[in-house]
Amino acid sequence: MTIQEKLITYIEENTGIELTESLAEDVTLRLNMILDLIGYSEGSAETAAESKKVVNVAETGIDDNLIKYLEELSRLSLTPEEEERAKDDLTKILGYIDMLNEIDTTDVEDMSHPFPYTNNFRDDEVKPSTDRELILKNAPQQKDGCFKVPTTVE
Amino acid sequence: MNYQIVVGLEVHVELSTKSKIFCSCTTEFGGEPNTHVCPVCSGMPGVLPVLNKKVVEFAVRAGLATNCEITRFNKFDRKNYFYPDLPKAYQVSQLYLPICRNGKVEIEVDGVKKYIGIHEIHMEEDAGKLVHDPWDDCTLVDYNRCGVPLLEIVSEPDFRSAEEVVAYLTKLRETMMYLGVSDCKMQEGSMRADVNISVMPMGSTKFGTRTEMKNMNSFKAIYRAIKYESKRQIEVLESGGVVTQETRRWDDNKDASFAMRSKENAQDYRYFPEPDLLPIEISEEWIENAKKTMPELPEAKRARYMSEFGLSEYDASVITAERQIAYLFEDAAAICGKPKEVCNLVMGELMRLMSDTGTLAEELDIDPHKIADIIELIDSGKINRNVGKEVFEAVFKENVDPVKYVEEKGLMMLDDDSLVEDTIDEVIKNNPKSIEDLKAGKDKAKGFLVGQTMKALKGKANPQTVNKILNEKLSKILN
Amino acid sequence: MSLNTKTALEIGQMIKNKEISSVEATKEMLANIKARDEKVNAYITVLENEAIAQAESVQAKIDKGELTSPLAGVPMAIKDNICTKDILTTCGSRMLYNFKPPYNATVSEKLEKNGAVVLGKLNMDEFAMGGSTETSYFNPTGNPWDTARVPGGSSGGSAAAVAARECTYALGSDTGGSIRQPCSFCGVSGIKPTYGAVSRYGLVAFASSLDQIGPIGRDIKDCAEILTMISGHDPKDSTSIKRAAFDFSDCYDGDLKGMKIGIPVNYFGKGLDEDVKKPVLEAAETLKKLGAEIEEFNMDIVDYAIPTYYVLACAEASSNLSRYDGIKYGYRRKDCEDLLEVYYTSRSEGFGMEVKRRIMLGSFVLSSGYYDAYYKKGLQIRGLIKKSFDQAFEKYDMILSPVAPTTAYKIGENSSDPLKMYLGDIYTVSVNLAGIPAVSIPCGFGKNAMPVGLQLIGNVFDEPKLVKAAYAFQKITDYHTNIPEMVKEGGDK
Repeated sequence: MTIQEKLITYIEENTGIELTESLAEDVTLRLNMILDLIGYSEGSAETAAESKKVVNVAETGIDDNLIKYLEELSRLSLTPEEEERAKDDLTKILGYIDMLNEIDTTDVEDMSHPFPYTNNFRDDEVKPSTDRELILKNAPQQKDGCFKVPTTVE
Repeated sequence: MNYQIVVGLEVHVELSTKSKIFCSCTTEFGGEPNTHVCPVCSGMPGVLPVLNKKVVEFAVRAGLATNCEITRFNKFDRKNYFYPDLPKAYQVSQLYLPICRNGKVEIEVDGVKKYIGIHEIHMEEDAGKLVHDPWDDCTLVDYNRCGVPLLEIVSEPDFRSAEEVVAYLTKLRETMMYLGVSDCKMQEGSMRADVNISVMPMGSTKFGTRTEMKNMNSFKAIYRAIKYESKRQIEVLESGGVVTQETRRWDDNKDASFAMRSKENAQDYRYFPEPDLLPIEISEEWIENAKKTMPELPEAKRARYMSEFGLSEYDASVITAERQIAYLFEDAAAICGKPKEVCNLVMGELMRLMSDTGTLAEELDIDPHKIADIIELIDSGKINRNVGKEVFEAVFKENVDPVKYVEEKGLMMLDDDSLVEDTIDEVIKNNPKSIEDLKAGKDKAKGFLVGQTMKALKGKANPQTVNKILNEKLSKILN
Repeated sequence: MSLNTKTALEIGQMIKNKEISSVEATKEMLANIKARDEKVNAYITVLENEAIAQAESVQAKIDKGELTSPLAGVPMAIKDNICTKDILTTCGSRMLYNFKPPYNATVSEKLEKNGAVVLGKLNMDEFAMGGSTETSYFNPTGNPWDTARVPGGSSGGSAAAVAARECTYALGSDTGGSIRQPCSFCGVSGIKPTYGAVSRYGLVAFASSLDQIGPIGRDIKDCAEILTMISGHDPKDSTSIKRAAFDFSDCYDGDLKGMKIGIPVNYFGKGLDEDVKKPVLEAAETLKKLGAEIEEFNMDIVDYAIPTYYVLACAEASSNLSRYDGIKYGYRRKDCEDLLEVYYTSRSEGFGMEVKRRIMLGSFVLSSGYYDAYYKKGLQIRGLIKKSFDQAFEKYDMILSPVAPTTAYKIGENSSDPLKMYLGDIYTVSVNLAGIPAVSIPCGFGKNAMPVGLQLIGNVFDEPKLVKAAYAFQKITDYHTNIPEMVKEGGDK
């Protein structure tokens, strides 16, 4: 339910009056103006909830949902025993990593590359491609010059 | 309740570089599966990308043409997701610092002009192709398209109708083609658009929940998809439902869209800066140079054709619709100095021949000098207009040399008046009926005599000369 | 003839002097492998016939004067995460158990050009993730000084093979200490070069912004020569740096006058074994005798290097290892019904537990909602670490520290506690985060008779300074010339 719908339901339940369509629209518009003013946008509540979750992970550890989610992101499936172990290990490791929060990094720049080098380009020149045979040589399954996978529905 | 449609676009254009974005494999369309592939673009362990400079140059050009700010220090990021068409399981793209931002493009619908905001333009690599094999019930993966450079042009949600979307796409396509940045062929997928659509009550400032539409491969399909999807959303809302945020696939044959599997909706791409590539720094000098070498865009060309050459608005817009035709026109006009004549030939013969033979503008291979030669031949009275058309057709189809062709085929006008005189005498003698008709006041008969004379001379006589001599002879006979 | 006590450069010279042929040297190494590798398990692949054939062809070229490189004809071996054309390159993983790359790494090309004879491919922690070579799919490697103990890792096979004289020198890779720590555990010398000095093209990526290939050898002079051979800008690697080649010719006078060496006191506190602390501090005294000025200082920020390293390295790894999906190469479970099954089974069965743990940790720190708190924070602290090294190098030519907090431990002793394993990287990871070079050279033995290593850390492209100091140290010490019992004459029996 959207926040607008919640408000309308709330009004209706507390006043016992069913709002007409145009009144409901009016309520929606007014609420939208207020939401705009306070900078609310769809999903910002979830983001806020998520940032709360961040703090929680260091404190409460990795739960079943999170471990399942990480397995899905990583395309890995662990056995129940492995899952238990991974939960413990990752909780311990993340607890240790949490010490990074001791450092104030306000206004510190990210360092994604070791050195400040830029602009390494090549010219737009075509060179021969690799023989297809070599490209496919290591493929577990191939057919008609292609890598072969089980039917993939889009 | 009345609803307002709100649309935003993500347009992908494939760049016309010779080689791929991060390796030296060709970008040529087609080819046997996996023959335009090397260890880099097939994602073998240990390989590294090296950026094609042309891709950055094209992105800067596209950004300047759409009034964007060029991000002086920009970077590539990895977008992580598993799919068989993506051999590295991440796409190299730009999220945090895209190369162009905050642009705008002017469009016009029914005489009303408005700006569409460009949120950003970023560089990225294309994915491969999956083909379903029904015999074997499996999917075959071809990496030929992997690593072909793309620009993703992300608009603001500024569109309020399907017509505005089509006007914008037309303008964008034209611009990219003129810049030489992309050939924008929808059928080959070198221009694709994902459309974000939502509806909201008229007068509202808060956008509704949007859906994303994929798989439209013509402007017409995009137009229809927007009409369809906005109608569907309104129906959902009217019946008391809520629109779910989802990706939908357009089926042009069924004229309807379908929600894609929910798995593909919730994605967590885990973007982070690509460590294998250095950041890109674009200097003031680079931008100045790009501005200097920027080709004239179609809008400016149209205005100039009208003011400088006196072309009609209609002619100017037809000629500039395709870059190759505009350049052919301009070059030929510059050589012969007769833009109007060139315009007539292009608008008449060239367009007809192209449509008859199904030739695309980018397939044209006509030397503008040859067009200028034909205009010269007509203008100097050496051939007549009809012969001119014939010569042009020969140039178009067989790439002949106009002057030689006219000589070899004996198409040149006769400048021997005595031969014309003798022929007319002969024609008059052989057609007494016509003379009788003329005497009876039936003027049409004169045309018949001209025709007979031209026929006897195999069309090579100057019609004016024929007319003049015939008139002289007839006036003697009739008076 | 026994080459047990010879360096690679000495063997190269002997080949030039025709005291020995490349084929003979190669055969001796192959014999050593045959005799010792059952216990050491340093090799995943031994190229017996290929190596002899290569030695023959290299020898012919040396004879014709076509090959003049100082290491031409010298038999060596390569860590199994460096691609070698048509030769099995497994990364110590089941995932790549059958992978034969259709191309060479740039360093493999350079080795070939310089007439190196490749004996085989060396064992390692799976995808270089580990510090003990215990995570290899192809069984752990034993430390030649005591095969019940680990050789360190991840380049454990490389260091063990050099220590056991199963090759004259080896290439390893270093992402968080993977060259330096096994050198310390096995009593051999190694260099982790400046990031961008050696091309990474063809090095199977673990963490792209940290990985570097480097040499492991019997002494620092060998290592410097190997580094000269493999370094230089490579147009195939955007992060390799364009600059003049290394010149080590001024490094061998043994005089350290005017050199300032800083000792970060916080490196010598809690957690450092007495067994290691003593020889490292004695080494500092030795360098002082050679003319260097030694000064203590504080570098508190590096206490945060391990968490920073694991956030960044695992994030990059989670992405780098996504390409192993069972479609293009490597392990794939047979008879999968659908695509998701191909992904899940191939990856779950192809990767070992440590790799899975790091992929999941990396996925976590990059996932929606956590990026800023972990990954971005990591990048920022990485910047602070680099800055504090920059400040240190304004005062000092180099920094002296231990390589690892302990000597080689028993196989299986630490493998059940990943966090404890990670803490073993405490002195090495900051070097990778800062992209700077460091050497690891033997400086003594612990009470358990296991070797101890000394780390010298330099500023960007200051490898020559490090080599100069290490050479001076090795000139007047003999820790690097000690050989394990099994290598000694008759030790094979």
